[in-house]
Amino acid sequence: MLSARLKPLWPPLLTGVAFIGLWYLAREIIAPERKFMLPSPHAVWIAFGEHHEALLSASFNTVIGALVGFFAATLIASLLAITLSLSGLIRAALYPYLMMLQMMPIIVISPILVLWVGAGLPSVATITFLISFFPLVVNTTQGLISTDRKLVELFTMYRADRWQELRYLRIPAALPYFFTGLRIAGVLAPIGAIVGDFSAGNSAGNGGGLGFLALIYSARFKMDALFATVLSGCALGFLFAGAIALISRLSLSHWHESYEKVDR
Amino acid sequence: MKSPSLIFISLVFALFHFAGCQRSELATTDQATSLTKVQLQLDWFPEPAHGGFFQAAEKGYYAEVGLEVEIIPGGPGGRPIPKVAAGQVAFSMGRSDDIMLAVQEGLPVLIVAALMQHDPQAILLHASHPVNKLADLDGHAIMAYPGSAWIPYLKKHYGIEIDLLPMSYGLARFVADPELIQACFVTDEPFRLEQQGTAVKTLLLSDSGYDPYRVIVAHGPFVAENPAVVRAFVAASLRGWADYINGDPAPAHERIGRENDHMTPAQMEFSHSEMIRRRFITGDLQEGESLGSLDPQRLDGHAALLLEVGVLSAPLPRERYVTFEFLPHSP
Amino acid sequence: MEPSPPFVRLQALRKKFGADSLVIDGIDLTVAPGEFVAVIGPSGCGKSTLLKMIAGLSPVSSGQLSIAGQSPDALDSELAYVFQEPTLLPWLNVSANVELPLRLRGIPAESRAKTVTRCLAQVRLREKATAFPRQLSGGQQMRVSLARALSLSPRLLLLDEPFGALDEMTRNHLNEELLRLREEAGWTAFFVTHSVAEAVFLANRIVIMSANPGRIAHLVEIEIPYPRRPETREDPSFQQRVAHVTQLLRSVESKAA
Repeated sequence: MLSARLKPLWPPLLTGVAFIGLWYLAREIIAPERKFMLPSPHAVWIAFGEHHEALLSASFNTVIGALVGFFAATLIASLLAITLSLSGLIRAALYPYLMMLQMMPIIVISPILVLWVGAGLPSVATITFLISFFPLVVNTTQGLISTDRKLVELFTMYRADRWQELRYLRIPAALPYFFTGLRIAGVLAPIGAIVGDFSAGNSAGNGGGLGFLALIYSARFKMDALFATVLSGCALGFLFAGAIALISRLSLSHWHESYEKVDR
Repeated sequence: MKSPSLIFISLVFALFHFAGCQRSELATTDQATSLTKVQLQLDWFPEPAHGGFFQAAEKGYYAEVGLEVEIIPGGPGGRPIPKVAAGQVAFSMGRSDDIMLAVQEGLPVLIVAALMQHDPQAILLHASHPVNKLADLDGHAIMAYPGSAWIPYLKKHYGIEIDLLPMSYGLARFVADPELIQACFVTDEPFRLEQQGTAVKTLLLSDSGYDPYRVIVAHGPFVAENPAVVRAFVAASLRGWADYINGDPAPAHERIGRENDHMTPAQMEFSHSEMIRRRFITGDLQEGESLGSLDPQRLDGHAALLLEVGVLSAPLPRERYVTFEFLPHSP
Repeated sequence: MEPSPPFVRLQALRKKFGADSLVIDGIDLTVAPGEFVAVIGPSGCGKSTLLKMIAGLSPVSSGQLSIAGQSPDALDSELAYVFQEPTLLPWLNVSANVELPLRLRGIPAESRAKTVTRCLAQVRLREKATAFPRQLSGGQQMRVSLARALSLSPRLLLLDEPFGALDEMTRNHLNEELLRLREEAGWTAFFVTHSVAEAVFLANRIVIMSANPGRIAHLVEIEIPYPRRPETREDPSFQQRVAHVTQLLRSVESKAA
């Protein structure tokens, strides 16, 4: 019974163990004076313990920054996607500017951002917003305009007006695309929050996320704590991705083909 | 999610790449000139704070001791200490507190001589800013490099709270925000801002009692294996510094001007004279300070301070981070 | 002379795609209420296009098209169209799919629920009311599609090869069910198909079209009385008619070749 549920865990577990083995092996190969660059797994583990308060507090701040930006991005991207789906003319008019915005390197504009919106949460949330926004807009718009033509004809048959078509057909049909965008954005959001910290972080009142912490550990040459910080960031990414996978499953599994069980 | 594995795998691959490099690569012989080639990593873009090295290079002092020194410019985001620790370059520079922190974490670096007797770091404010002394910084935000050891020191020494903003490159933010306070080099940013028409004032960090050396550092194992090269390098560098301070700095300034587009002759002249006026390089003769010298007791005192503030987690024996064998004999 | 005024009238109907492509060239047809008209012909003869024009889904290039005296655009729930695929919304369950046309017309929830129950009962799928389309077989999905088409009680049902993807047995069952539904409700039907046997079983009139461009080549009356039972297929006269229509169809195909 229990072993059946644990069975799918074996492959990643084994890889994880092999990976840690490789890690130790790598340490053996490196010249002694370079060992500081790659702390051992147990040193990182100890660093987790030593700095867990700072890491938790920083993770929390990063999550807040990421969530605020992410929600804002989801909301605005959805509205924009609906607008874009309304006509090819609107798309032609707006897409080039969207592309331009997307191409702008976040790292370069973040100091300017700090000047405009202020350091700390506003900047971090804005950077997260910018990073999450585009995959959401692009994917959702694609979903809204890719509706099965037969279904569109069906709605024409029923003399449905534009808004009925949107509400009852295009939007539900676009959900799988939306969730694809959400998945991508959900992984990028914590990264955005952490990177945002590098230029916009703020240590006021227990502020400062994982990026800020990384700067400190880096300046103090604490590689083990730095690795722990990086791993915490990864854990956050997992958290976001997991939450979105769950929501996606709840919304789609009862009907979408991607959730069909395949017999092998 | 693929990214964590990807980060680690690429890290491991990068390290495998480094693994095989031999230390002896740090000093190679130029076949044409039969000089020993070594590298000096600067901690920023070429500027008067590196003047002595350029002076030594331009006036042939390195060649005279059988060295060919490649001076590698630094910049924002550059991390010279880990580079030295990893054995990628033989020499660089830094602050003595940073070196102590690095050694504590197991980085194999060693202080071989002093570069400046006193630290030119200061707090930069607009002239109109209400804060006039360091203690007044309580409750304010300062833009500085997070993790700098002087920050917890200031907090503890004056019993104040300071909010930290990460340092961003360039003065745009400072100019735009009359309330912004940031860290600076007293020989550098104030002049540039005054030239731009922004009135500023500075608070020297060393006035608080926090006054590390600026030092020349070397890759630890390299020092053990090539003491002659290190000795030659230190001697020629200090000779270059002496000439830069006491003689005509033109050779160094010409080279700096070539390598750094943003450096103006006026800026260089200001930095140069500020360094002399405030005796950063040579220090106070009456205190027993001289170009390149390191006072063991002063180093001990500084280490104790860092221990007290909690930046150092345990007492650090001197021999782990400094060697006095290459210092010039006392005058 | 038809005993009742024409329900569907096509006069000199033409359809052009773009400048050069004349798909349908001059169709004249009059259909009385309650008739079951099957349309067959070689591939590309424009039978689906014809159906779409009657449905109002494809604009008429020239000619007259009237249903109960009006153009298709003016009509609403009088027309229902059944596609080749079930075209069910996969994220809605069977009930929700059937009630969709009612929802779009703003019919209140209570009467919607009643209608849905009635329609599902008609196609004998009441027990699947909460199932999702992907849990149903092809034949079941098609029946849901029919139930949906009938939910607004249309007077004219347009079906475009609805059973083409199904196996013969299911198809035969669905044919019988279709006729039974028509008995109950009395709608008129246009039914496009590739299968001659299906056409002969279902229709009282068969339109055989020729291709390039599409025209009516033959009109065949099928005078087998309704209601038609499964046994009808065994009847020699039935099989004769199938042979006859098949021959006509072949001659149309060979002319085109």
